[in-house]
Amino acid sequence: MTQMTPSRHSGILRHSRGPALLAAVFLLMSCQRLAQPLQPPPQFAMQAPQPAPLSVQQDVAQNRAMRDPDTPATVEDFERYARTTRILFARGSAELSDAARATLDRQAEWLKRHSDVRAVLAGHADLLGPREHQFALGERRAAAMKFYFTVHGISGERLIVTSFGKERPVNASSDEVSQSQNRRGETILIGLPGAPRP
Amino acid sequence: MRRAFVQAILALFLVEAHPAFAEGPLHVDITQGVASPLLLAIPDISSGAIPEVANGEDAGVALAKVVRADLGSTGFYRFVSVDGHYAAADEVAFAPFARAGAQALVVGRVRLVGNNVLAYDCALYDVFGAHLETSQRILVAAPQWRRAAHKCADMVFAFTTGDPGHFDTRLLVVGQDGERPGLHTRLLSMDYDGANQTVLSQGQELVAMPRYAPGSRKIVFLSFVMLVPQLVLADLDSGQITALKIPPGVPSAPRFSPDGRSIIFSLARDGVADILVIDLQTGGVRQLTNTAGSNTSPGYSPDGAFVVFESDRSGDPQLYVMASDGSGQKRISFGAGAHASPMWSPRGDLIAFTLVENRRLRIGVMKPDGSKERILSDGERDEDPSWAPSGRALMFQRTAAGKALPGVWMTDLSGKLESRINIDPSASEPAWSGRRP
Repeated sequence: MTQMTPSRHSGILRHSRGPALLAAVFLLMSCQRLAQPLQPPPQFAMQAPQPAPLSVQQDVAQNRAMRDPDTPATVEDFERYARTTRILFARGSAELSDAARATLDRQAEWLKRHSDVRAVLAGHADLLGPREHQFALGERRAAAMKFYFTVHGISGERLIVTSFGKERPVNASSDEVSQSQNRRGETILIGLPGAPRP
Repeated sequence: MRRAFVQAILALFLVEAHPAFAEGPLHVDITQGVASPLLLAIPDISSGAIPEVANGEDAGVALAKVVRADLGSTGFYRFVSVDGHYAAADEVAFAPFARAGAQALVVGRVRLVGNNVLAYDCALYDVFGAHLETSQRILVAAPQWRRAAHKCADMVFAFTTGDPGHFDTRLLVVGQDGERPGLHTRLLSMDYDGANQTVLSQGQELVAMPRYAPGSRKIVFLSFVMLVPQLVLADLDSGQITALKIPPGVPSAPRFSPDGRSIIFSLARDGVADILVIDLQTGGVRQLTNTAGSNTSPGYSPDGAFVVFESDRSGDPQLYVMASDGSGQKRISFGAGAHASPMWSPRGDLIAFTLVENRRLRIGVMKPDGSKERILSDGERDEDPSWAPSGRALMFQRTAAGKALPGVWMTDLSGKLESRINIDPSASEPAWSGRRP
């Protein structure tokens, strides 16, 4: 159970909207959790699903980073640790999905370990909306990423919000699958080997 | 950007004969759309080859071809042709043109008058009245021969419609190179018909949203420096470029005011985009909107008194109008679909926009009060309308179904006369200049 606590907490944070709200929500949810009956330990539930392989990888990566605090901060290490530098959004929306939050959690974890690294948060939008509206939407997406990071303890001064709107799509085909890839937010480290010039 | 793209221009214009335009029989009535095109003859008048003109083609014939292409693109004229060849020295008799049904006749004679200087005598005749309506002698450096033809077409257009022509103008686009947009962008300028292309930026960095200042010699655009966009001013004569000092945030959608003294733009901060104005003399910045959501795509009315813009404060993007001090914000678009990227016509009578409906983008126009909305284009993804200085034509970006890269197209206001501007390999985000001096 103790291992589950951090992920539960981040789950609670997902629904918070501001730092002021945060403490209250945190407290409330903690009380709720205490009132819940304890679940049987997983090792006795023979039919229970196996833990998702992704979180096993995450643990391995975390453990390795913890074992070796001198792991140099490189773009490659960030990508390996966070598994992806890119999150996706729903059409016209800047709301962070559960999957996006999980990715940002890993990115935030890495950024916390490398407190001298700065990042550009770049919001992008699909080709199906008007250009300048999509540009503002890109900023909204990047701002949502920045807010999430700052709530998770990354100083806002390390984060630069930018937007590319629909100016730099990863896929120009007009079908839905292609366009869904363009609704994205990217975390780009700056000032590191293999990163854009500072 | 370098000074190299700054071209020396020699263009002197002597206007003779009748001033301005007539109420006479050669007037094209376009108040009700194009009721009946003017029947116009523009015969080839041979001059022989002239160095540096039309790659050695007969200069008189090449110039007449450009004048016909200009006027033909408007839909206001139908061409009448007459058999027979004319040399520069020949008299042009009215009788054959009258018999062929031509109402008007344009006679253009070109010759070399000095060191590399062309004189193009462009005259508009009333065929039935058998008299000269107006004429110009256009002097131009030989390599700029197309401008002489555009000036001649402007004269005919202005006389017959009462509106200034839009042929001697420039077009600013984002050149796109690569398998999809944004991989390799360059700022390009060219004549409105795609000729005389000049590369303004050889970009490592992304460029977007270019616009001309009044006239055609200053521009503003978005340039990404280290992943972050800046508003950049460029003077095409001096080659000087300046990044505007604006408050922190992510800027976009810059446009000049009609007097050229300020730039209105959108600035996004913490997920909210508002419209601001910066005074280019003092650097002072004023914020005009202050609402939730995204306020963007601002554009002035031609007298500078009002601003049309796009806002999603009510949900989908829609068009709003406010006074230029930000007061009296009022929604004007209520039709089906989202309305975006508005631009006020230089004539003041219409606002062009992009309609977003059922995953399609199309170009439309409406009156400034939002009435009389109509859709002009019928592509899959048509967007970013930009007015001709005449207010009688629009450029826009079209991405054809199944294509990754867009092209730039021109349309008249009936939507029936569309043509693709020849820009190699691909271009987006057209901005039409004002008239050149």
